[in-house]
Amino acid sequence: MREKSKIAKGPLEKKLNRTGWMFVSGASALIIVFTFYPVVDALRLAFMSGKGNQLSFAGMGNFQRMLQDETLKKAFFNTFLYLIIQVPIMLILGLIIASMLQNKDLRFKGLFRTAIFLPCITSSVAYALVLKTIFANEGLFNTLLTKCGLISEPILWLNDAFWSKMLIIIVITWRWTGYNAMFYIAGLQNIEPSIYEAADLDGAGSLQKMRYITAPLLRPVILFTSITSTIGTLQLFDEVKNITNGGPANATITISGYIYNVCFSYVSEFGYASAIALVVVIIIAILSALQMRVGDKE
Amino acid sequence: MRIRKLLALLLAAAAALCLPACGGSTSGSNAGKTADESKTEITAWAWDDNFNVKALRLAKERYEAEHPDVTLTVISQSLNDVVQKLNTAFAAESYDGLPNIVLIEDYRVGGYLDVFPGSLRDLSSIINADDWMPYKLSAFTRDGKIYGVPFDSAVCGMFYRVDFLEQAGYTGEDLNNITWSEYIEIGKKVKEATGVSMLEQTSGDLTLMKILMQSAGTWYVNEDNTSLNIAGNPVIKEAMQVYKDLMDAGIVMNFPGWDEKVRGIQNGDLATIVDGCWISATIKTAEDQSGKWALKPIPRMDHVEGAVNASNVGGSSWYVVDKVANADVAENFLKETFASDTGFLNELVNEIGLFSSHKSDGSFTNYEAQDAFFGNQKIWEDFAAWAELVPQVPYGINTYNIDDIVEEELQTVLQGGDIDAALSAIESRAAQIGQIG
Repeated sequence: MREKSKIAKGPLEKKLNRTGWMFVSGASALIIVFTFYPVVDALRLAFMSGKGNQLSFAGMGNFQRMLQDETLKKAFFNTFLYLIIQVPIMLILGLIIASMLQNKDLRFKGLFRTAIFLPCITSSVAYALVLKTIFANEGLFNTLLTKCGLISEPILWLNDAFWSKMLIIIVITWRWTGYNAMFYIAGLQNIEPSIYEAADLDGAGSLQKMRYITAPLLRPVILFTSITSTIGTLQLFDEVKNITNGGPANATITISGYIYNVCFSYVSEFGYASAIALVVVIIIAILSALQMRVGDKE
Repeated sequence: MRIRKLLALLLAAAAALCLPACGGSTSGSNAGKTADESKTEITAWAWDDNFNVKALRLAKERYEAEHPDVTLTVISQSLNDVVQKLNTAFAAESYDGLPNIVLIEDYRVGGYLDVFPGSLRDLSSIINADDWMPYKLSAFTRDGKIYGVPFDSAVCGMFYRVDFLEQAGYTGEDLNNITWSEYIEIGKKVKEATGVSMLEQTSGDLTLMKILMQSAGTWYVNEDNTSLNIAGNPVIKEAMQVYKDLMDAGIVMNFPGWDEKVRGIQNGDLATIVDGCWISATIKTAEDQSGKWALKPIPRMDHVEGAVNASNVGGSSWYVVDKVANADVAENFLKETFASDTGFLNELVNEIGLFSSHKSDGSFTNYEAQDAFFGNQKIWEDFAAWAELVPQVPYGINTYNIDDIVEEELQTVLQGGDIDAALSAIESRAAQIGQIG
């Protein structure tokens, strides 16, 4: 029967099918070799320990080691600190900027939009170097604050454990706020203006409009941006690597930064690095699921 | 329609074909390719165009003149890139794309020798161990076999600003072979008299710790290169105390990175610099300070037996990757240049300020040159004399990994934490680092 049905297909259809498969095959083969295979292999590696290619099966050894690894704890703490402080600030700021840019009376909208979006398409290495100079001990920012009389001693942005963390938060907020604002602008454009008109007639203030119209109607977009931002923050790497290189004394190191060190800066421990990566994946999955739950309520 | 379909097919085929093309072997390796049939091509990797790479290019000129059948391709790339590529290529046992000759830091090479045995070639036959300072060779000697050819060594010295010290009432003689506690006392006076900091500390840089450890003949690990030697180690304990005393005395200037440090030197923010000999090139970039600098031995640790006024910090050596084609030619290249040609090494003293850790045998005439920048002091002669005193220590394989842990724990000590507790913490954390196999 099968044979028959196969034969029953017209030659053209068959040809089309083949073409389709050929189209997909290249891309799928590449994905399988360069994405799926490494993912599966990393899973295997997570249960191995050792250096370089001299690996042996370690069972849960890597995960036990993680529980005692002070640097890793620091990396987790830092990453979650960035996440908890930076993501809400960035999303709220993005929302505010987006609604300001939606103002009907605003002129040069295009210019502002471009200016807001520009940071996130700047090369991270280039802007890291610039920001490093601005926030140097005797850099522009400290000089400005001193001249204005706001501080008497320069803030050691790159040498102090607390301020270097703040610097990272400032930097990633600067870079990614515009990116998120773009999603909100797109979302806002889909909201029927008549709703706002009706609200105006009812005498709603701008805060109330934000609370009762904009926020609820943008919920899917806010959900999307908060998930991508969470994932992005958990994978934070270049900013920290380029600005502080995890220092001073690992005060700003992120999980990805630590994974990099374990893999490439120190004598390679691919097994341990994979185990950490696996835990990050699980955390991202849990956080995303949580956010979906919260977002889907009502 | 037809054309479109044809195009689609072609595209799909191209995509499918791309795969074997990408994954397939790039036939042989960089090293095996020959531009001209009669020429053997070898490659070498190094970082720092003004120092390592420049030396390599000069060696290439010399060697190619003698061996017209060999072409050496010098590839300059950053230290981080070299390390990352070696780590991954060795682990994957994929030697395509690796060079014949590679420069590796002495602190790091133990990892390659112990974790990837067989990757780097045994060069015992081209190195005469008696010609070199033993502390240099020990970094890449395993079971009596020498795997590298020494390049630069960083014997340490204390560069100081004569004018600042004079303002505080000190002459050069007051700085000769002092201890760290004397150094700190002088530093306080200098700070008082001139407002200038005595020393610098760069974030993420544990140079001083390594200088202190080697000056007293100890390291994070014991002679076996594996077992840890941190908890209860009197040298590291005192080194931490030196750090704390320096900071408490308020005579240390903090820099966030290397660039700021260089700027600080050029601004005249520092009264002394305790570092490897290669820093002299950086100091000399401050041309307006010519004649104001001089050199003395580094301070010695007060309470540690066997501590000397000499140390070493870092340095690199040349290696031959054994499994890349033409390794014999690469070995011969090193043999005839860096391993034996003292005339060439002597030339490099002037060209790049190389201190090679080759024992003085009369051929290093350039060591005798007076340097006007340092008040006509023969600084290389001094370095060569101090190099004889440098204790030999085992670097193990995890120096950089342990450095990061030490830096974290050092912060707790600087904030008033107990040093013994910090040392125990470092040891137990370092013990978690994965073992070989």
